[in-house]
Amino acid sequence: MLQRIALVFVLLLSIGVMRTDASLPPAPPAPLPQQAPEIASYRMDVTLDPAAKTVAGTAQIRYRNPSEDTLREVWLRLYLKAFSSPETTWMRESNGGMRGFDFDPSNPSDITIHSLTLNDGTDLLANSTLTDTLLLVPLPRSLEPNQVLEMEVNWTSKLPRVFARTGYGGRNDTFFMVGQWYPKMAVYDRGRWDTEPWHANSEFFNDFGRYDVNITAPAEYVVAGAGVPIGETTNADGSKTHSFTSTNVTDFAFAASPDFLQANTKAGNVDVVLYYLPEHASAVDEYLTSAAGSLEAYSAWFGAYPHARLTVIDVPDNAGGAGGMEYPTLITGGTIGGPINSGIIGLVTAHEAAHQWWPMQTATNEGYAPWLDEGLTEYSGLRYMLEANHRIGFGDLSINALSYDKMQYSLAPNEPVDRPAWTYDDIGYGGAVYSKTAIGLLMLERIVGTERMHAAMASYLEEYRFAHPTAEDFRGVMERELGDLSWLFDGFFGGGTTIDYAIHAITTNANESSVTVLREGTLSVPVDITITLASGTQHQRTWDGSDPSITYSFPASDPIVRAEADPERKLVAELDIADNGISAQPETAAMSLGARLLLLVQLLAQSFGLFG
Amino acid sequence: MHHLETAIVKGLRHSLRPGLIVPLYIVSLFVGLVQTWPVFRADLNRPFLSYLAMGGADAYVDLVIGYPDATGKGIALWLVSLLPVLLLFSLAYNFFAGGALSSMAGKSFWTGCLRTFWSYTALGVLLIVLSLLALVIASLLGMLNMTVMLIVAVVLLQLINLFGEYARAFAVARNRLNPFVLLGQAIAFTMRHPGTLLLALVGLLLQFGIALLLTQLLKLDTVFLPQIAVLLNFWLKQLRLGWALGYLQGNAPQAQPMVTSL
Repeated sequence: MLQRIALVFVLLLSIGVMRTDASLPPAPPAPLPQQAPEIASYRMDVTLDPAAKTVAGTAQIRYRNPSEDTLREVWLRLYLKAFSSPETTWMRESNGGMRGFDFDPSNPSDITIHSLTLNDGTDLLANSTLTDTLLLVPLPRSLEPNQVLEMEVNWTSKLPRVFARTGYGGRNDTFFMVGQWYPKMAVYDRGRWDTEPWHANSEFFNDFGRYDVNITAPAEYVVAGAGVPIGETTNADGSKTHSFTSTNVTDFAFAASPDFLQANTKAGNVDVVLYYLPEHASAVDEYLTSAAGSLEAYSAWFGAYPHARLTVIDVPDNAGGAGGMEYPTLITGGTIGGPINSGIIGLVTAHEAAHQWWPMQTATNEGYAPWLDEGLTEYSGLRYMLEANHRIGFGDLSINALSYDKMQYSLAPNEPVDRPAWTYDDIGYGGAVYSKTAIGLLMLERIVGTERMHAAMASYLEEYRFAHPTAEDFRGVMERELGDLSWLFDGFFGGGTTIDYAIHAITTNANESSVTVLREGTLSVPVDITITLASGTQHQRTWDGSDPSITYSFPASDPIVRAEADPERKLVAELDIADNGISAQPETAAMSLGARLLLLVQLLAQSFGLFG
Repeated sequence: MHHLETAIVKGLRHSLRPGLIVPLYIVSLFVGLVQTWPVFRADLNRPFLSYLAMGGADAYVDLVIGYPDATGKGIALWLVSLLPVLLLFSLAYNFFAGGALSSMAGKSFWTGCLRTFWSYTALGVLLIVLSLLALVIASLLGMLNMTVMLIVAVVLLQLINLFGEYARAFAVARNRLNPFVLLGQAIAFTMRHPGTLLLALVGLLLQFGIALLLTQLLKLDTVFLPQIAVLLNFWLKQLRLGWALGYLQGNAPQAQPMVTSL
């Protein structure tokens, strides 16, 4: 029945019915997007061979020296080398596993450069040196500032069985997710080449450019590429060539499968196109609602999505390693192994859609500052999930996205967020880089107000769109817009601190009624205190938390009956909230907790004891 | 069909007697309060407990991440202490079920309780063994298909539950106490009389109805109304036992005519 309902949804979507969450703000008129500097651009003609599991072809790379320095070498990244041997940096750091998926050593990947020449035919390959996933290419002539280098590379990429975001899988191995698949220019930034090898915990650092890509595949294959499809032609051998163009972007990826079905919706003027597999038809609505809804929300909060189209790829259950990944204008979804329709698809989609801002528009270095990428994205996704009231789980057992992040944060609360990606273990990376950053930013938003927070984030994007900002740049904008935030950036994000307040006791004598609030955490953060008197009068106080404790007193004629620290739960990083409030009398709702537990025991007794 | 009608009518009549419901409800309150006591000993002046009562799964996440060690130990201790509580309740059921069925059969309640207690307790152990076996079978099938596993598990457990009810009824109706004999007779009887399966199905539907009612009662801001569902569960058990006894009474063995050889 669910599948039938989903099919009805698909039909509605295919005629362009737009469904986004009504509670979200409409996107403001989109300003004309700035143009990214074209530093590394690619024109590629490639062929996907489903039988051989390869993508092969040629690329014309146009690289403009973006610096004031003279370059005598360039570096190319050959990402698929990471899975070619157990000795690579990536494989040693990951122990051959990622997100619960193990590498299949019988199906390794590789990338082989057959030729690399300048456009005048000068060979560059003979003098180049391969180290791990990086190819050092000495230049026969120096490359002056702003001068353009044009190279042609001919190569073959052997894809792995789906692992770490890329490869083949699905029904009879006919699904292909093709990412990190071509020789890619490394980044020259701030006077040096970024020559970190590809690390297991790190994703990418890229320059902006333009991609014009022709992909030839068997005719029965549906090819879903990044950017905008600009046409397809049928070749003499019956294959089809699919053409895509993508501008103001840092990368290009595509997926292909003969089983792909398509569903569309709109987010403002942006086409949101989902390529899904028949077995996941019931998830179409969740995919599109989350993708379109989040795209509109982020556009309203941070700045318009600067592209015409967002492509969403659904991945097969046996190729989950390809799910939950972002490329410019293309994201992959999935359930991360959870049940379908449990809200996880919406969570993953909203997160990946937020990557279209961080880092796809900022192009930060994810290796050195992963929190500017994953952390800001997790915060954005969390905000959308809370705004849309999209929960994870089923019925009464569902939790909101904040609980999800708090659980992950609680596993590594003392970790700093601003270390290089490869210095974290898996738990620390998820707990600190993703969730601690998200929780810290949500805490900041609740303290300064949503409007000011979003305005500050929008300023950061406006100033550093297409500009490789650093952590200092982000902090600079946020402090300029919101004031001194050393408690957040040095205190909370720096690690080793805790936020914890407690209401100690209410005491009333003949003269006065008092309540004492304690700071039990090591970090002083302003906290709201609400004090309710017997008359019903409520008093609001804000305590800066600089002292270990503070006492508020009132005349005994109207004694305190209830006091709460942080009643609006602004300090979401506070893990122990059980002692944040106290009442002079037992709470009636607390009594019902006992009654519910009694009922639970009775029902358990009946379930097991009345058998037979 | 006549026996089925008799069983339905007699079962309904039997279910109106207080035999099983009142004593077992009192026992359930007792064991429930024993397990709930730590909550009432807690600091009820903390609004956090109100949040736990009303806050759903998110509130429990806050509890777990706030006190990961204490929560883990507390839940473990609570679950361990739940075992003797459930055992006590099971023994109470084995005790009062004999009395309730005897009372339905027009015999002394307390004599019935005492007479069948050990037999019913042994029968209960036998049913647990059979249930574990059923779960193993279902799990093996689960390697092929999860849906099949769930269906097989539910069907087998419901059948074992039904056999147990008719075995208890046999003990009173036919004056037998050997649990193996009772179970064997119950299985044979239910297989010969499809009406027993029909009544079991009706019982299951009523069970779903009570569960549905409970979900609605839990939405109300009231402490006591959900207890109606607890009482209804006891009533349903008494009804099912009444149906079993009624069915057996309607199928009492006929006296064989004496044949004398000439």
